[in-house]
Amino acid sequence: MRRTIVAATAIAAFACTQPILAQGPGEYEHVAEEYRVGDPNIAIQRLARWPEAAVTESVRYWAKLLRPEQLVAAAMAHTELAAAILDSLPHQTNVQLHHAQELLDALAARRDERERADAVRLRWYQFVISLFSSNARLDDADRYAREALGRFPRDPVLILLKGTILELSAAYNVPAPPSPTLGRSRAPDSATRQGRTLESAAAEYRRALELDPHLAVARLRLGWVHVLAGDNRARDDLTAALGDAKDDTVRYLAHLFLGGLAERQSRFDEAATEYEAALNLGNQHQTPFVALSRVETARGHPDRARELAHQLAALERIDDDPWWNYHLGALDNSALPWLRAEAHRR
Amino acid sequence: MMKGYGLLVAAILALQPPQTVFRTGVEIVEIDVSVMRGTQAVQGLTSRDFALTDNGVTQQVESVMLDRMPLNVTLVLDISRSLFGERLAHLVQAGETFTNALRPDDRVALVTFSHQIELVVPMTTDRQAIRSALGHMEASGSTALRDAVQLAIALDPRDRARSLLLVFTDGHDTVSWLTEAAVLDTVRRSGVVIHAVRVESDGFLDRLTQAAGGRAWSATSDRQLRGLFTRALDEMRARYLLTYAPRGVDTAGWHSVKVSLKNSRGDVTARPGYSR
Repeated sequence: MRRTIVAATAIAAFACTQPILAQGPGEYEHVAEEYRVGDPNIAIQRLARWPEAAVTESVRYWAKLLRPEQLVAAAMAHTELAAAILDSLPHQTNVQLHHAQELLDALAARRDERERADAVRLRWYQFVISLFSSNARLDDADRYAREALGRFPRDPVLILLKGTILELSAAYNVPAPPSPTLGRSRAPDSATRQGRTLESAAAEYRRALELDPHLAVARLRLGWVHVLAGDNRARDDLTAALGDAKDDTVRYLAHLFLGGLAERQSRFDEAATEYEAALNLGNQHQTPFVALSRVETARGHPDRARELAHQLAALERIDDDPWWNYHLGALDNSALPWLRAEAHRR
Repeated sequence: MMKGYGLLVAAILALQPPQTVFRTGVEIVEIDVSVMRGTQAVQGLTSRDFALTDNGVTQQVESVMLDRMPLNVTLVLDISRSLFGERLAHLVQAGETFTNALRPDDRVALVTFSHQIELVVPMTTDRQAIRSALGHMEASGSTALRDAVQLAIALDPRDRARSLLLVFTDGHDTVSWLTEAAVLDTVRRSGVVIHAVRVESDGFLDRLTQAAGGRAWSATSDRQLRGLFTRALDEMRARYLLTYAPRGVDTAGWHSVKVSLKNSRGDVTARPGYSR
């Protein structure tokens, strides 16, 4: 459902069980080239076999010698390896990400490469934050988000991601990652904590929208937080998100959330209309069927509710529903192809 | 309790079992009741043993049936990733034991859920289909408990058999769309009795089974699952179906129902009311 990273399990198993092979002096460059112009999965598998000391030494040595595009490729090989071993070897994940950052630092130090390095690093942070968020590693996600915002304080997408981490904390009902600016005080009860965390998330979304008023995902998320908080601005936010949406995923969620808002206000006819709109956009997804079935029950139409349940049962579904990704966190699906393409670019 | 929205009219009553009393054009309310003394079901009670109020107005219980009607049981089983390994094996055993103990005219359906909900086997008397499906279950994914309950209720065939859900979960909901309030409202509008077996404490299941007139059992180890599934079936069998024609309570909306015993000792479990 959530992790779409390359052959993650296979690579992790490979990393754990395969014998360490000797690395020749040019092997690291070959890995970078394999990632860049060959098969990225093979490059990651080869890198997975290296002992940590050899990797550390190679990164230091080759950071000065690789061409800019090779530096990006090597950084991405380390990054994708980190993603692949996140479940099985979590302590090694940050080591690999550290190597990736060393390589990006080397890129930034090259003459005339600063702009490219910044662009790559920004997308890299977005990918890594989403990687940790989608695996419920919210403290790690928050750490990278803070680091990224230190470098790119006015990037609306990073600010949006910071809000997403807070919203996920509220969904899991775990304490929000600690703020360095707040002193210790008595821990609030669960509901209060959840409410405060959602308020903090909303504040981040508003900040992101100040920088980019048409950032539809931020508007969507702000709208949903307002739904959860019973805030009257929810409807306007979600309608605006619908207007600014550039893809059907945002439109699908906006209709779903407008339905959820209407349902919470017992406006069941309106809720049904919104859920029908979501169903039209995502008729392979589970959630609109569930939502509509429930609303038809509330409207006094049990036969229709049953019909919808049977339609869902008969459906050939793909294991994907934007609601699940929204609620549990998901990988940034646009960042990875962009970064891979950047590794190919000369 | 009530089927559909609780209004059973004479037109659909031709198939009623002989012990159930209905009158043409009169609304009949059915209340599915369990009476336990400790862990034992109390049997042999008659209508004279029950006191029943509807919105505070005493009602005449017209019939009490120690239920011999067939069951429509929907097994609603959590197969999220936390079930991986031995726990799933125990769940499969519990499901098989439950299925084997059903009577020939009982029917059973299998709904599984992680984040994804599947009607694996529709309502059937084919025990082998259920056993086979149980054996093929695999654990993965997140938990959409509330959504699964909504779907299972919606899928209930609403025929004249008694509708029961047996819900199993070992954790908490992580990804449902529906709120607890929405699901509990669906439960109150339906006639389905819901029992639950759980491994971890979950307040939602307490509120769910209470709203549905059922019971929740907690397993302290996976080995207890089989025994608790069997107890759930025993409890399903030992229920009384009370019927009455509501008098003096014509208002629409929520009707609070209270059932107690007049002449016997025992703990009565029934759903707290119905929507009209």
